[in-house]
Amino acid sequence: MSMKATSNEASNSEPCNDCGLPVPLAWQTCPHCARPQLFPNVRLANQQTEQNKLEQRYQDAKEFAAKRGCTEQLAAFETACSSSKAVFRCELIRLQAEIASGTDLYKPFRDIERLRLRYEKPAVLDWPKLRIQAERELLGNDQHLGNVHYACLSLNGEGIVSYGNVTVMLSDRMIAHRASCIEGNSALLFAKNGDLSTILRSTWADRGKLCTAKIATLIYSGTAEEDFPRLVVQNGASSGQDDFVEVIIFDTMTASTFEKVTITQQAIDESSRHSGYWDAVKEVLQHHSVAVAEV
Amino acid sequence: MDKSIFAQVAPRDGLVAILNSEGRAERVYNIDGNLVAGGIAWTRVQDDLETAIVEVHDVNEAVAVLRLRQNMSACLDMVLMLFDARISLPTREKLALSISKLLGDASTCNYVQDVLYSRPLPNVADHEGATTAAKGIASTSLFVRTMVQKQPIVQLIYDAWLAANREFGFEKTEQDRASAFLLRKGFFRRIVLEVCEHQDLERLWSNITEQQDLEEQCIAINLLKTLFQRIDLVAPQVFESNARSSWEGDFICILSQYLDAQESSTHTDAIVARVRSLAEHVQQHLPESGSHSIAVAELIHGFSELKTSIQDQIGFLTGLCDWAGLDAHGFSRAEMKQIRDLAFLKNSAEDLADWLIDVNSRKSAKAPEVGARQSNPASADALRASGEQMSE
Repeated sequence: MSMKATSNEASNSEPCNDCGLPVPLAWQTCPHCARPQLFPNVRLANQQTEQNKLEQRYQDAKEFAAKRGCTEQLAAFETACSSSKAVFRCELIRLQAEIASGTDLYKPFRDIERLRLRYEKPAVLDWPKLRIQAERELLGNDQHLGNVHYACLSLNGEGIVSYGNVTVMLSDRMIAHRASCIEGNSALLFAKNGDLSTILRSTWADRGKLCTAKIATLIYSGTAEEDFPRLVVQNGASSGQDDFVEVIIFDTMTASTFEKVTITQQAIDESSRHSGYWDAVKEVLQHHSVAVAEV
Repeated sequence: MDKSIFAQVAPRDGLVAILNSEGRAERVYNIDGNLVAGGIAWTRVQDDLETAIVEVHDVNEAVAVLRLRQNMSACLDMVLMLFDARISLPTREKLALSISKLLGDASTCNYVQDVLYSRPLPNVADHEGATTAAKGIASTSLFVRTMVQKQPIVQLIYDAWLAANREFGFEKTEQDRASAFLLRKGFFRRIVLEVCEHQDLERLWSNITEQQDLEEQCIAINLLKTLFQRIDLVAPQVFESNARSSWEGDFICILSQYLDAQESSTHTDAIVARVRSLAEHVQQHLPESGSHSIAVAELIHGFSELKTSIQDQIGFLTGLCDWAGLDAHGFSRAEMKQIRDLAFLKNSAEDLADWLIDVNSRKSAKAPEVGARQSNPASADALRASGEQMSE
C-alpha cells in the first residue's frame, strides 16, 4: 500500500487522531501509525460536511418553530430526544442469533450458518441488494458488510411492531461510542434518492438535534410531551407508512449489550413448540443482568 | 417443475418474499402464511444478508420452506444451548426433548450436522452438561454422544481444511464461497462420517467428484483435493484415533458385561473362602498331626483352583488391555476396584503359598509320617512351582 495519500484518498479520508495523516473512512486502523481509528459510521457522521448539513437543518427547524410559536415545545422535544434509547424489535429466534454472535460457543457456528445462507441462491441470479448498496454509502465501502446492526430511536421503549414480538433496548454505555443515526430507514432512503448525500446523519450525542431537524414540522404549540414518542416512532397502518430515526450500531452485540428485553405472551406461546427455547434465552439474559419483561 | 418462482427466505425473521422477474420482493408472507403489510417488510427480507433464494411452485411451498428453515435454525441453536454452561440443567433437559422431535426430520438432522461438523466445538463447550441433559432422551443422547465422540476427527479435518486454504492463498470471499458450497453439499458431515465409519477416502472422493455441479466450482474442488491430500497425510492419526475411540468403547462395554456377570469372581470368592477355611483348619490342628495331610492335600487342590481362576481373570483383563492399547489409567473407578481386588487375591494366594510351604516344612520336620512324607515334598514342590508361576 502506498503511504502517500492521493487527492482522491484525501476526499474520502479523515486525519488520524494521532499522527494527523489521512486515514480512509472505512478503515479501523491508521495505515501510517496503526493506531485504532474506531468506527467508520461514527467517523462519517463526524465529518465536517455532515455536521454542517445537520446544523443548517437544525437552525432552520428552530426558526420555523419560532415563527409558529412552538419554540418551547420544540426545545422540550429536543431534550427528550437527547436521552432517547436505541431499540429494535425482532423474532425470538433472531434475538438468540444476536446474543450468539459475540460468544465463543455460538459465534463460529453462527458465522457458518450466515455464510451458508448468504451464498444459497441459484447460480443464474445476481440481483443487487439495496441494503448492501446502502451500507456501502453508510460505511464508505463494502468492507464491513453485515457487520452493523440497525435499531431505531425510541422515547418509550417501543419499536417498529412489524419487526417482531421481542423488543430489545440497548445499553447506552455499550453503543454510544459506536452508534450513529440517520433520519430514516437507510435502505428505503437509498432506494428513493439513489444515494444518501442529502440525508441527515448524526453521532449518538447529537441525536436530539437530528430528531429536532427531522420532526420540527410535526411539532405545534399544542403538542404535549406524551405525544413525543409517537412522533419519533410511527408504526404505519399500511405499506410504506412506518417511519423512524434509524440507529446504526457498528460491530457485534452480546447479551451484555442489552439493557432490557420485553417479550409478548404471543411470542412465548409461539416458542412453546420448541419447549425450553425461551427459558434458555431468558436464563442467558438474566445471567448477563439484562432486565426481562414478559407482557 | 412446470412453472417455478423464486422465493427469498429469511428464517430468523420468520418471513419469505415472492420475487418478481427482476428479483424484487412482490409479496412478503410470515410463517403462518399470512401476507405481511408494511414497506419495511420487504426491505427486511430483500436486504437481509441471512437469506436464501430458493425455487418453489407456489406460496404454500415457499411458506413450507420457511418453516423447515426456521426449524433447522432453531434446532442448531438448541443443540448449542445444550453445551452452554450458563443454562440450567432442567432447561437443557427440556431442550433435549424439543431437539429429539426436530431431529426426526432427516434434512434438519443433516443441516445441524453439516454446520456442527464443519469445525470443532470450542473449549468452552460443556460436554458433560450436554451429555447429562440429553441422557433421558435416546435420540438426542445418541446425537450428542456421537458429536462429542467425533470431535477429534472434526478437529483434524478442520485443521486440514485450514491448511488447504493457506496453501492456495485464495481471497477470503473465494474461500467463503467454496466453504458455503461444500457446507450446502454436506461435505464436511460426509467426510467426518465416512472417515469415522468407513475409513475409505477414495470412495468418498469418487462420490464427491462424480457430482456435476461440483465441477463448476473449481475453487471448491481444488481446495477439496488439497484437503484430501492433507487428510491422507494425517490419516494414520485419524484412523488410530478413530480406531482407538471405537476400541475404547468396545473394551469398556465388554469389561462391564464381564464384571457385571460376576460369575468368575463369585467362583473365585468361593474358592478363596474354602482355601482360607482349610488353611485355618490346618493351622488350628497342626499339632494334631493325624489328619493334617488330608487337609493339606485339599488345600493344595483348592489353591491350585484359586490360582487358575485368578490367572484366567488376570489373563483375560491383560489381553483385553493389550487389545485396546489401554493401561490401568483407562479404567473407571469401579473397574480399578475390581482389578485391585484381583491383585489382592493374587497377592493373597502368593502369601498363602509361602505360608503352606512354611507349614509343610515345619510339619515334615516335627512329625514325619508316611502319608505326609509321601505327599508333603510333592505338595511343597507344587506350591513352590505355583508361587513362581504367580510371581511371573
